[in-house]
Amino acid sequence: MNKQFTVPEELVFLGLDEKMHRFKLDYRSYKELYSVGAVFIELLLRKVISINEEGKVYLTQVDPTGISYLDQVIEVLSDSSKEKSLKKWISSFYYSKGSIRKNVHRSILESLCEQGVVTHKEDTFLFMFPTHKYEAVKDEQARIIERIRAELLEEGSVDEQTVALSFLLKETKMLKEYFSNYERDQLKKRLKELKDNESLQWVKWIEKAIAEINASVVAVGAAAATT
Amino acid sequence: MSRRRKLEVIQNAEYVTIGELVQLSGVRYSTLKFYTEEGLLPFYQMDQKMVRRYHRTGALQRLAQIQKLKQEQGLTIKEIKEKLLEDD
Repeated sequence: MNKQFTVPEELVFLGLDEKMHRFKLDYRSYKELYSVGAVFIELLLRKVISINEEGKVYLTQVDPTGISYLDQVIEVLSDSSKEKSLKKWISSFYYSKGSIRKNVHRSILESLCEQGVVTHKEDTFLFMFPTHKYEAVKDEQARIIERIRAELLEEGSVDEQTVALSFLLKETKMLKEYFSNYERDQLKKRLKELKDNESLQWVKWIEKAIAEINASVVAVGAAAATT
Repeated sequence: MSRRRKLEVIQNAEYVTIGELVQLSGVRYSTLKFYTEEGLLPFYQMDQKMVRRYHRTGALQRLAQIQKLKQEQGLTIKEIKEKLLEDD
């Protein structure tokens, strides 16, 4: 039976390097923030949240989903009295909600471990410093990539989750880890075609939301570099 | 390892490998692998370590059916899977 992952699970899972048993270099520094961003995308796809015309995020339902990392973000949103844009929400998870950000990322990893596709090993560096090693099941990673190839590199309709994941892989610079130069060009071309297709408005809002997440990650990265 | 078969032989064979199915259908290898993993493309395998073999005409018919559902009905692979597994 094939496993069904959420967008945050697929992103974190593909972020694991099979040789290093750590997170991939480009993605490593902001992995927790991207995890939170991917949770927002999952909530958008599940229609738990929505973004209004002013670009503010609002909850459309407050019932728990039963998925720990999604519910942690829902709780933060329901406790807030202020409406914020997606970009501001992502920044707030960097500046003032660091522990929740870490917990969200950890919960995603735990979920992957529970599903048996990631194994976690604790080790020490120089016999003193604790380190964590995560090993991903390569075949399951390959299946996700094959799905992207089958949907985006072939003619036909595409699934919301595959499109969202592909935009996230593009923004986290992870496409190069899984696709050849030719495939990458084809993928980017297809994503642009989908975005420009007037009848596929949902692609536009997914792309816009992910661009906002990325803009926020870049902004906090630049702020961290100058302080 | 077996020798590569000529196209004329493949075109008349009862069972073909995934590589041969790529040649016959023009569908990329990774897509056929994905369809197989998703249970959309039935195969025959004598042993778990043996090569998967596809019934040539059955597999080509199934690929044509998937293509038709994609293009004519605008279904995603997920929706096609649900439909075909329901029909099976």
